[in-house]
Amino acid sequence: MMRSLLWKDFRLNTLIWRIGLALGILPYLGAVALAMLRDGPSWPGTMFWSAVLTQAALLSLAGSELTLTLLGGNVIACERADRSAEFLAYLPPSRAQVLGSKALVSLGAAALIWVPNLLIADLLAPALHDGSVDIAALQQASLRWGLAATGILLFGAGWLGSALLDSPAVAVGFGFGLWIAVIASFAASTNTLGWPTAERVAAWYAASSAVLGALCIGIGSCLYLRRIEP
Amino acid sequence: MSGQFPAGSAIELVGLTKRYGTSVVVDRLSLSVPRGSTFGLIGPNGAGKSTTIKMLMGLLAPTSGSARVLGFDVATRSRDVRRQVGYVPETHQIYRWMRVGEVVGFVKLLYDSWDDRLCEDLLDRFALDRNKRVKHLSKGAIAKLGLLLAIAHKPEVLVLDEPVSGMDPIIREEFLEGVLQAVADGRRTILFSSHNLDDVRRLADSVAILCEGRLVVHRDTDALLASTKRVTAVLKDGCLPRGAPEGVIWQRVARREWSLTITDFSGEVLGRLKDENPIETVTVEDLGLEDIFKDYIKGRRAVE
Repeated sequence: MMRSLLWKDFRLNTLIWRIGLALGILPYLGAVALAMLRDGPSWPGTMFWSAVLTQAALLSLAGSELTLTLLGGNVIACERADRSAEFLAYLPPSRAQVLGSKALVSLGAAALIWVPNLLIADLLAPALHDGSVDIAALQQASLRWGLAATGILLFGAGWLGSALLDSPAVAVGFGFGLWIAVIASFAASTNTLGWPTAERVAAWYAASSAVLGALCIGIGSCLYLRRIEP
Repeated sequence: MSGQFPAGSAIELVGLTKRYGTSVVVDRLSLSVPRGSTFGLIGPNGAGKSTTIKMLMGLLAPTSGSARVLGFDVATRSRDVRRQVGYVPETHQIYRWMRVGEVVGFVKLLYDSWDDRLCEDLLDRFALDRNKRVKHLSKGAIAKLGLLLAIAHKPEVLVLDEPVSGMDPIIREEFLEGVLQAVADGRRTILFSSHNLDDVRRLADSVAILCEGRLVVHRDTDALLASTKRVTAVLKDGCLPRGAPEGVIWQRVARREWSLTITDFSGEVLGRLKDENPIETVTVEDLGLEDIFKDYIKGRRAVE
């Protein structure tokens, strides 16, 4: 049963997978183009690739934020929009199975983007590195945590919007709206109340975004599981 | 709760009610459909047929009351119900981006009881092209695909919600043939709603008429047809009817002509009518299901 649901959910998100793939690969294509522009026919040294691949991985992860928001916003609402949710509702799978399949496909997409990029940034790039520059500075761990937390928030908010709404576009908009609201709240709080301090704001943002995103996923899932109508 | 109904019931509704704000769409509906029978649910637009069926399928939460299918409470055992019921809705919402073969493959894996041979037979009989996308199918072909998906897992209960509305006569015939084939073994219970009373007459062992959410009548089809008569009495000059007999579902006086539709009609009822009223002549005629339906609805509306 799950195989059938997973196939359906994968197919439903084909366009988003393609967008995600394009956004994920684009920074690496940019790196190759940069190498060709810079050094012409002679291929640059490993140090160049170490630095460029680290940056490309970060850019690829940044691009995944859009993919995650689209996946979250599309997850339930896309079947409501074309009313195929009504078809699914009178077939045997339980709500938990339907939701489980959607979650697996979304997690799979997230893993497919994040795992290769992290492997490139943390294994391949350091292996090519000769120690002449600070690799840790290039890897920007705090930025990565920020990107991961933003991804959870955007995906979670999209997921919640999707559980509540009939339109994937509005659900995606809800995802971005909540993210902007979180950023604006921290900016306003830091500027007016002085809390969190400028040095700590990134850490607070990452922690709050991750918690809020997880809460959104939990609430959206409960709403979907408890609702009787498709 | 199921104790109020015969043990052999496939479908049991007890006080099923659906309200939207102050509007009551289905009002304390109670009825029972025996296993192996074919039951027709008829009513004018907005009578609550589709709402009732959606509540029966667990797609809509009732405001109060309960529904049981094959003994499973729809509210708590919805999954068991869905496993054993084939459902053909009024509007088919099958994934439009899938090809026919993909839809069949997708649905097949969801049922343990899927019958590949039956499915192949139906695909051939309905002339459905496996490679065609659902969005490119005609309305009739989508309805036939919906019927195929509903019966290929050999459900014990088949629920059809106005399945042939808007279809041309040829497609309708093919669809009904498919339904008849599905019930050929006599073990399957069918509940269907329709505006086409010829289809109801052809298929249904018993019918229920709904009007404004309420059950007006629920009877064996043949008994309803046999016992419901149109009586046309010519009144004596200058006289009015004095009293209608029991069982009148609709009546009208136009000049001297008094028309009545009477259920549970008998010679005794006719005798009383003649005795109690100034009648010159009287004629009694049989009615088709359509006339009976119309008279029930008109009578109901006249009362309200």
